Amino acid sequence: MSTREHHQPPPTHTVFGARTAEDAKLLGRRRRMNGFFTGLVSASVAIAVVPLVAIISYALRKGGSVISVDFLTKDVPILSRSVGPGMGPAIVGTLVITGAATLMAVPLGIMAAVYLNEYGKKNRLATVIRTMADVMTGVPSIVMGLFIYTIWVLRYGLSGFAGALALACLMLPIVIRSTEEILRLVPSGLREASLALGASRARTIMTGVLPAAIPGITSDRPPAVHDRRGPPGQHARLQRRQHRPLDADFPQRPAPLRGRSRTGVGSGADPHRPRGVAHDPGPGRDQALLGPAPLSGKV
Amino acid sequence: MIATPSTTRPPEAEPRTGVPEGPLHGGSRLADQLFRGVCLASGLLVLVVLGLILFSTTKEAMPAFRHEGLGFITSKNWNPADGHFGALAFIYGTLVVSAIALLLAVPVSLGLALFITELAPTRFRTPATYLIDLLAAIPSVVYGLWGILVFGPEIARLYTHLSTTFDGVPLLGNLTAVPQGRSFMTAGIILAIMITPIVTSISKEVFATVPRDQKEAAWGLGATRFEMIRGAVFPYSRTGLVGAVMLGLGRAMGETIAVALVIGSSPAITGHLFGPGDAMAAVVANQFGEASGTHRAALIGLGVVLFVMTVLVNLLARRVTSRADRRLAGGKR
Repeated sequence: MSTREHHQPPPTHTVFGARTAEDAKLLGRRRRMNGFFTGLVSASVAIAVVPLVAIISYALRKGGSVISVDFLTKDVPILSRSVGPGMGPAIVGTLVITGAATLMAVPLGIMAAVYLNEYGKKNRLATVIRTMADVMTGVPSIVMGLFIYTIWVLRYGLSGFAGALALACLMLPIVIRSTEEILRLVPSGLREASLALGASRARTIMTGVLPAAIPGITSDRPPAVHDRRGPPGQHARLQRRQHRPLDADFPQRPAPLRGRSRTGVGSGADPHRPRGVAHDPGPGRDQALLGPAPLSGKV
Repeated sequence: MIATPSTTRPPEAEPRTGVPEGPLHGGSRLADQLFRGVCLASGLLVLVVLGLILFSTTKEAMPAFRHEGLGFITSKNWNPADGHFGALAFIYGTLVVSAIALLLAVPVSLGLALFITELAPTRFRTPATYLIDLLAAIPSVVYGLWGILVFGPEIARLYTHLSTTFDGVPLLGNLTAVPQGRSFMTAGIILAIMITPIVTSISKEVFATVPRDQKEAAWGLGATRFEMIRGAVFPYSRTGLVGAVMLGLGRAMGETIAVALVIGSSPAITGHLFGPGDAMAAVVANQFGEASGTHRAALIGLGVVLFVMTVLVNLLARRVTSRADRRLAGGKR
């Protein structure tokens, strides 16, 4: 048995030792299956990468040569067939319209996500809104365009604002769903601490929950946390981080309830607090108030 | 004042009679209620917008609906000049193209997502993730142009080859007849390329939510990587994967420019996948500019049909997944 184990590559485990020929056959089949599957996965990577690389290189090869300062800033030619000086207005228009859409969709989306995660939670209305936000994510862009056409353009005419409206409608559900995902990652201990200090729910959300979530919202990458995972064996070390994604960042962040100290909470009213401070060499007064030590034990 | 209150206030704010109002309570209960109201209103906005989409587009499409009646979705005669607006051929085209796209894109996307989450060396994972997200952000017109300028002519040669090979073979011969660069198949392939990054990106996130201990358990029992994925990763992430596929389907059905460029714009209900056809979104994009009156109403009507189809598909997917969820009760999602 021990000799057999020596022959085996580490990832394939012996199933309690393949002593009989049948066991060995099974083992071989499983290993072939695994190899076949690995081949399939690798093949799909190749299949996916080839066209994507082809498209990017084609666009760069064909279009790269015309990119210049003039192209980026000068006017669009009036005759579409003439070789124009540039694409300036189109580029500016893209930026303005996207910016306007963002200004509309992001605050509304964040507020809606706050409702879903902080107020509604699992009640029926919140469930309906959540479902409908998902449905809205799937609404094709052309339908959204027709919608804005019927509701806005028919009345007020074509405008950049109409375009921004359509874009905002497309963005809204995406902002809602991804923000909600991130709000869910904010440790509940943070909310509890703030509420226990007597802060209202609104203040808890504005000064505690949202600031903690903003890095995630702006980059829209909650799963970045998961990317830190390693292969099996390595993760035990990482597991703590993975389970408390936001906690891990807290020491670098301003203490969420900064400014609340005017209520006198920080002035030693709590008999349990000094111990925490004593253990904590680095952070300033605010951090001692709601620093990493009390929070990290929560989740 | 601070030492006494209960550690967590219950979710529903109860009247805090015992606690005096003061600076501690920030903006007072009124502000709190106001904030809640604003958040609620933002949430309700989703329902309002969805309702408005259905209402206002249907209203504008009414002339065409009244003109055609049920024929709008059961007739395949679309002839704006003669006032015939039967959209069946476009509905068929949309379904066929989306099906081709999903069949091609989903296996590849799952493979790619598995590669990134389970197979690739750790240090490649973050760059690979960024690359996929980047690709998902490429505007569709770039894909469409590539499809029409580069891919179409190339693939047309392959089509011709296949067509002559399978000529006379019962089923395949029919599928591959009248080969042309601009066709259902080309549109399907371009769409598959377009939705691969988004489906990959979401499936990757879904795979990442599989609890470590379940995978550990599989490894610990001596499973091979394939067995671990089949036994631990797939069952747990089935729900999320359906969601990913549905999102891909939504994109595929609604994708406009790229499809409009490569599908060939000829309304036909045919099994010739390598021949030209047309799809709803593409028709709207191609004809909206010069349409007026009933024609325009009919195009908006296509939008209504498309909207209803995507909503139905989405709701159906939710039903399926929530049922699967209940069967798998105990998981976190």
